[in-house]
Amino acid sequence: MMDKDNLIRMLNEGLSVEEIPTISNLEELKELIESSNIDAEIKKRFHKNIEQLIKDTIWHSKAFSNMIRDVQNG
Amino acid sequence: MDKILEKLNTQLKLEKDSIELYDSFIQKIDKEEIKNRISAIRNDEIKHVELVEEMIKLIESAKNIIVNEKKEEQISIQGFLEDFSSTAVIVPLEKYPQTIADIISQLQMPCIYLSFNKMANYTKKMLESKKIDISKVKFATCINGSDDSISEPGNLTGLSIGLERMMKFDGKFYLFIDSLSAFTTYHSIEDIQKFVSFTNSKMQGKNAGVIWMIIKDENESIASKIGQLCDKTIKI
Repeated sequence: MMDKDNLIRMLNEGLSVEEIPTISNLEELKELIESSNIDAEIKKRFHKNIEQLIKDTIWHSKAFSNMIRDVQNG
Repeated sequence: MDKILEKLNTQLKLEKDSIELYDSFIQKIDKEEIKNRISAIRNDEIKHVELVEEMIKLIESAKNIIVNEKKEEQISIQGFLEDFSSTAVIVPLEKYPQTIADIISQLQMPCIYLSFNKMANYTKKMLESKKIDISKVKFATCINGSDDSISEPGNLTGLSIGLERMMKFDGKFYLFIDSLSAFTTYHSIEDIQKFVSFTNSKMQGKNAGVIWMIIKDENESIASKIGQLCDKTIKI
């Protein structure tokens, strides 16, 4: 059975992945698309996909934070 | 176009690596409830791969794309250590990595970076990918069992001692706390306030500064209570 510290360390890694490289790259991608001359329709499509990815990533980050809290307090 | 494609390929790799990582978690974890919650995240990542692949196809079919990059810093930390030393930075999660990069890049002085509950190697890589010099930054965490852990997350006295031991600098330096929001998993708001107040006074006595990162929305009451204890509050 996995001990509490190992489980929390694993969840910390998940949180790190979501909050640092994923969010960072998505925001950079969003800025590049917004400052490009891409056709408006394609831009709209990109915007929709990127916003979905950002929204899910924020949700994942909250989910990992909640799991850490639950394991710590459980 | 090359830059956009590069970012999209990076995103694709991040999503695929996440699937692999979360699959490995699911195999190791025995608590069903946690397993199910990670499985839900992993399933989202599978959909994310499809979204990114769709964007790659779109960009590959587009022609003559020009990107007018105008890099604007989201935060100005001008006057830090001259006019103010303890600073609360309240930032939404989506702006959080870039805000960290902007602060480290602008201050260019020795720093102790406490990555309280996140693995410091991810922050190091992110800063390096943005071409930010981290040679003056000493990283530490409160993750039990991690190589750079200086204290258990639930022990604020131990954390103060651990940070104090790292404060071996000639001249100006600062402490970067990433993030205070994560402290709420282990500590009451009252204990966090005492820790912030104590650390601010201690750092002022050393002519050094502190940056307290607080994630917006996560805990609004923390943001206002900590802001009152600091010389300056910056909201992004």
